[in-house]
Amino acid sequence: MNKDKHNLLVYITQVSFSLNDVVLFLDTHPCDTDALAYYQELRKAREEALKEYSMKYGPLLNDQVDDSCYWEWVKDPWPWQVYR
Amino acid sequence: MWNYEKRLQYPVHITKCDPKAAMIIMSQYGGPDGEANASMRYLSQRYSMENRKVIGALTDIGTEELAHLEMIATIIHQLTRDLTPEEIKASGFDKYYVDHTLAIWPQAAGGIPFNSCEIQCKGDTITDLYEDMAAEQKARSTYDNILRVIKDPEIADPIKFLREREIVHFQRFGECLRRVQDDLDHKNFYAFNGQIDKKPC
Repeated sequence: MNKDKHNLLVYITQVSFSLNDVVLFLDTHPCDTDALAYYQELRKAREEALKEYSMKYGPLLNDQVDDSCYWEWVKDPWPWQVYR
Repeated sequence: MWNYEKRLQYPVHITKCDPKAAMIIMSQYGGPDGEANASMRYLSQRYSMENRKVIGALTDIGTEELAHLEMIATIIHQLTRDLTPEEIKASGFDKYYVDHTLAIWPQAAGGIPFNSCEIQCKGDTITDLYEDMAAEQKARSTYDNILRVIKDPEIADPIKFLREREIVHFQRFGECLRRVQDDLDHKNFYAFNGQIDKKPC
């Protein structure tokens, strides 16, 4: 995996985990406006990063496949097949 | 990594209680050919599978089975949510109720707890795909058995949807098997197992 691709995936992993974590916090603190603002920030960052990744390297979600000639979903290695 | 969508794959709107129906349908939650076992079977088989297209089918079908699990739970919940103590006693739901009240707990219709004894992850591509095709047919038969005794359209409609999906999944796994066999020695499909043996040069 090239460095830029790897770094972007690391970034998506980080921003997605932050989103998972703030979602858990909001489930029990639904009125916390600071957490809600943080959630909006992360949601946008994740959306943009996922879009950039799928455009450059292929889909991470099965509704992000852009190629009209080949089903890219089965082209790249699966997560447990990636050895660095 | 998984994300949740706050919706059912196919709508479930059941307006009448029917604890006897719930007890039967429960087998597709935690029973031998139920949706929990289906999902665990496919998602677990992926790691040793060498064919990326087959892994794709196992991932996407294994994920869809989790959506089916949620539909079955919704059906059971809606069939039991307004039960009175009298109805619980009269219907035979009391034996489940005493341990689980009106919660959803994975078990077979006969009360056997959810377990993985009825599934297999063999680590052999042909064996695993036959296992998966058999699993889809066993689930289809179970839905046929349910539909033979449950006629209320509110319950039967989502069950019919789930039955159809078993047929589609069977078809997809059959195509996976054909794809895998295309890459094998046509004179002997069993000459080697791609999941552990080195391909002969």
